[in-house]
Amino acid sequence: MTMTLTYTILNISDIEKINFSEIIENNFGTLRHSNDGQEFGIKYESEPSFIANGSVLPIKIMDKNQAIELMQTEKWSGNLEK
Amino acid sequence: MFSIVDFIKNIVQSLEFTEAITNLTSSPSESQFDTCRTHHVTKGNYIYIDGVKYKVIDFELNQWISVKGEIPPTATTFVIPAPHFFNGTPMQVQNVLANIREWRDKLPMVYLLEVIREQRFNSRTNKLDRISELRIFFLMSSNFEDWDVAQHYDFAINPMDNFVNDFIETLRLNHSVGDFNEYETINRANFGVYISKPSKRSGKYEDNITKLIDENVSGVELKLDLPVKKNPCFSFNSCIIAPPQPFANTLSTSFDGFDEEVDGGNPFGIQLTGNISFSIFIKTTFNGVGIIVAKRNPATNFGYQFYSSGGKLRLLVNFLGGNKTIIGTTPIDDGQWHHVLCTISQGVQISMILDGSTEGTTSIVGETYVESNSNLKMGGGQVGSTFYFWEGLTNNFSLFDRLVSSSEVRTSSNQAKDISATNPVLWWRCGNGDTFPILTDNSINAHFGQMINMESFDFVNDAP
Repeated sequence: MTMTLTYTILNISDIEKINFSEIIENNFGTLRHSNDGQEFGIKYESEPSFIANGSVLPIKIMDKNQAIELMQTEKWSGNLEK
Repeated sequence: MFSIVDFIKNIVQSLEFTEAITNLTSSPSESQFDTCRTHHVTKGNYIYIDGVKYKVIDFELNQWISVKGEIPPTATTFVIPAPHFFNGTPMQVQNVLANIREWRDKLPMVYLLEVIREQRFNSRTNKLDRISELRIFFLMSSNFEDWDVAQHYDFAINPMDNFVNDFIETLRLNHSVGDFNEYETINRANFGVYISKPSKRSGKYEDNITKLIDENVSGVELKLDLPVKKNPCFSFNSCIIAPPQPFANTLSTSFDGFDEEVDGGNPFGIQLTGNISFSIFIKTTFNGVGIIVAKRNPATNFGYQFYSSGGKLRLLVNFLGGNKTIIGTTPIDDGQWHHVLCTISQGVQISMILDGSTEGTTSIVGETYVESNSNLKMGGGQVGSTFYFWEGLTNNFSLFDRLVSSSEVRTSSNQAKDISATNPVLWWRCGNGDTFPILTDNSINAHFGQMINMESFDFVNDAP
């Protein structure tokens, strides 16, 4: 079975408004952050209420391919041969 | 429908042997080592060590083998590939061999002579389904011009007799085979003379058989009345004996390249500082930068990480003196299954073996390795403050506290194999036998993996 997930980038200032029971990620510790720490990503099957009700405004909403492409940009990736 | 031909073929093709190397002496031109089992090795055959092919130049039955070329001092095992298999009437096999340019490369070969006479049992109370009268020829290259009788035995008949013993023992252990008390072996020097038939008309296939098969080929003929048990897979009769269970490998773990990973923690048992090997099957179309397996400290950089960049593989190991890296050159973002074996031979070299062939090695002579004291990760990892997640499928990841050869963890056809007997430190099947969100450790340890940011549908029906 293949499930289609939605990938979303949010601002770190909205972290307190995230209901982890509505997204795939379990807690703050497992979230992927941008290199500058200002943004983070989540994914979900059904739109979470905190987005649907407008309390959190996503920076970007993507499908999987778009998300993978974004994660390879300088803002999210880097040189791992340190 | 049960096929005796397929059954024999599968038995033959399973007879690939991995044996230990001891007392290795090596030079650029020639290497020699001791081994207590030479199986069907003989002069001119090939053995494999870490995926590299070596030609046997001499041997002493069940004592030692010498090969052309230099064997790395780190080699601990060698592989004797299974012989080639042919079946059919002599004429059919002749036609097959005639289309093979270097047909002698197919030696040693096992030839199952057809037609096979079978006695069938219809009684519900009889545990046997049939008795198949088999004539099987185990053939090896030989040299009629130069060899004396003793050399024919040493270099052709005895190695093939060894193989017949392996074949018989494998049959005896097979659950589909009933008890058989006797079988007959016949030494066949110059096999082709034996099977050739005088042809009344020139140009008939029979003439060609003689030309091909009797050209310096000798070995052993096995005559066996093989009792085959009733089996629910090929009989309507009631099942008495369960069929043997093959190594089922149908599921893999899917990583999304966004934030999914498996966290193996940092238990004492995987904090390795001696020789280290890890093996994994991967399938991907991802050509970005992503960590596939890592046990590397994001702050101190100690440890190792195996990752892909630009659709090619890289292995980075950190030492007190800095990083040592292998940069692969073979594209693996082709959506096909690949097997990778990475080894760290402390004080000697690191190596990466892709699909049985060496992708790269780097010397680490004089380098000091420091355990990372960080969690083992699969599918992603962190270096500094940056995350690197990988997109693709993984299957049968295993970790060892010793150097292993590629053939211990993959079949010659690049499939996963049951490695229970190889004593891994950790073995995640990545699907089969696992229950979300845990990857069970199939070694004797309990180093399970926790699936992070993943779902049950990340176990997918795809496997090498």
